[in-house]
Amino acid sequence: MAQTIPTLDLKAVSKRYGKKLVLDAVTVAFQPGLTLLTGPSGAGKSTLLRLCATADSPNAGEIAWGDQRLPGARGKLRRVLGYAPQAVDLPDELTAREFALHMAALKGLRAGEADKQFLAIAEAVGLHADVNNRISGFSGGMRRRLVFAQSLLGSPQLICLDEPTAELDVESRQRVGALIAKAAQSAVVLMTTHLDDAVTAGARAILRVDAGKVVPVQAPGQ
Amino acid sequence: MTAVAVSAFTTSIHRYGRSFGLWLLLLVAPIGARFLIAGQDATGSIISAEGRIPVLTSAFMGAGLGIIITTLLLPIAYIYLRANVTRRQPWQVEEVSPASRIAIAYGRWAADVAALLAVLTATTLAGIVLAYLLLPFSEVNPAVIAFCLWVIAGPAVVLVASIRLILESRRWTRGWLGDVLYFIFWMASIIVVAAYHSHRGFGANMLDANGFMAPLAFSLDANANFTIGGGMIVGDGAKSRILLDVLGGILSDGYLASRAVWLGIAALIPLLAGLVYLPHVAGKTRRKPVAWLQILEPGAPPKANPLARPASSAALPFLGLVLAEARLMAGSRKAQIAVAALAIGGWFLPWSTAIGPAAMLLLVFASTAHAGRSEQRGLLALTRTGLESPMARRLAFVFAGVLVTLEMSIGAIAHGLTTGELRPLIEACAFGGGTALTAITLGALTRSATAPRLLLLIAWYLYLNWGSGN
Repeated sequence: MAQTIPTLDLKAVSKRYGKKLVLDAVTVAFQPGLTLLTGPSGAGKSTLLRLCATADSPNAGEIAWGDQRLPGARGKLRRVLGYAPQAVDLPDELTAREFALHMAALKGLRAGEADKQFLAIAEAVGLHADVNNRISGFSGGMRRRLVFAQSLLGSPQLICLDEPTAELDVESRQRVGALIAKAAQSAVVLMTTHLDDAVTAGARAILRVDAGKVVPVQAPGQ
Repeated sequence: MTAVAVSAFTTSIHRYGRSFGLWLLLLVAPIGARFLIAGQDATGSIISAEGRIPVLTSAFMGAGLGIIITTLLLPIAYIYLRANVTRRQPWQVEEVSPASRIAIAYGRWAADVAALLAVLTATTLAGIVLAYLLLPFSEVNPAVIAFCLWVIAGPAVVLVASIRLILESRRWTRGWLGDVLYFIFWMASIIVVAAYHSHRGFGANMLDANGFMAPLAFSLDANANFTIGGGMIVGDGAKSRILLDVLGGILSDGYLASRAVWLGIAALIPLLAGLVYLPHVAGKTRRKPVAWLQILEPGAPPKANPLARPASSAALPFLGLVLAEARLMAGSRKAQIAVAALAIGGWFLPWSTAIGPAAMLLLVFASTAHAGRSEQRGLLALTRTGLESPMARRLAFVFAGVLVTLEMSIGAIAHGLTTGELRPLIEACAFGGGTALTAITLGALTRSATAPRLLLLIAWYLYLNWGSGN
């Protein structure tokens, strides 16, 4: 039986950093499928993503996962969350596989199954040959793909991806794009991007974040 | 929860095992042990009592090493934990996981404890080997050596791992404030014990988190003097010996119970660290400062000129580098205000007890923070592409340290010169250069500000006391 995926609702959400109002009373409902967040650098895309991924809290407003409001439902949401921020202090001394299994443990996943799933994801993003190598030898693109891969572990229903295709070559972008499209069939996927053709085709909505506001942009094919 | 703790433990252990630092410590600890223990014919010792060197027995071999570890070497354990490979964690993704912070805390704590206990094991083995070399064969008792060393040093090093964890659970104490708090704790733990060393029993032992006093003072008079660290010259009694009943002290009333309680406290701290854990902040969340604090803010940038010409080459690039390093070290508005206050205050206030220590303290924080930042791998990859080599930049860092110190001391130097007093000038140059050299050397070796900051804070404390006495 297909599982019902809740929506992520933001109501009048504001976020301020010091004097700067980054998000100004944003109200938006994220439906299952891929939603792209675009806009100029520093517009607040990553901030919006962090709020959705429970990595930060709003100064005002309300965020709800289905009918359950945050921060009360934060623990519940985190059980079905996949998050790939732009920068992660990756442990260089571990291998990619060890890091992924550690993340799987933190997500409460079975080690054996998580290992198999990670290998499959690594294969799909072109990282399979390097999973037993230490992260210290990874390039920027490989690190980016590793962070992306760990976000898909388990069966996340909310996936927040912060520019996952940055620093990737064309082939890797297409590989990652295909995985995102597949994940979006059974999850709410939010992704910040500068409109990359490899992934925008499957988007159900494109939103532009600018000057603290979030406004819809026509999605491709609409 | 168990799976999370096990995963946190195993990943940390893997990282320790693959780092150079742990193997270096495991190598240095046994070699260092030889220099910590005085042989039968020695004329000086790290530990002395009543101006005499303790008689070397199996019990004193273990206790002596334990005492030195829990007094002089604990900051090194702290530095190792704070500056080692596990200081960087993937918190960006960990903190949004459903995993229990308590489980993660216990996993990491267990790994930290295992790393420190491995060093303790290496030291114990070294102590046993040394005992066979320095003592008659029949007097060597490995079990007693291990027992004395571990009862004293075991809970103390476990406590260091716990303190590291609790300091890293809160935002404010993840940086320099944590190092300062540890420094205060370490100093206080020694000073308090020294003040109450004539007391006996469980209560007195509970004041001694490091556990070194009872074994040392048990067989001495209440007013006996002793030295740990070799600071006191062993005078006429250099060749004479004093028998310290360290085993008696360890087995005395309340000592073992107090060590067990300290171990229990240390084991509970990860629970507290997990409970009070506060996530990192990705962006700046500073509140708007009150009006009178606006002076500390950087202010608006100068107006941009779209027609500005491309910058040309500097006539003296190394000098430019020194000035740039000085700006990065103490160029913020807050630092400039502090520097100006010290420069003016130097004319009116005494150098040795006020301006000198204050200037050195400011330089310790400014230089170590900049050293830690500038020696990060990513930045090094960029800066080594510049005109000046990384070593030239480090040299410029040292000159910048001297420059900033001279700037802070200018009032005191000028005042001194009017009276023929050269001490402010000499000391400003000496500790400016010495502090900056230490900061950049340790910063480059550990890629962290923790090691130079803590060592320089200890040096600063010594300077403060030396200054007060002169």
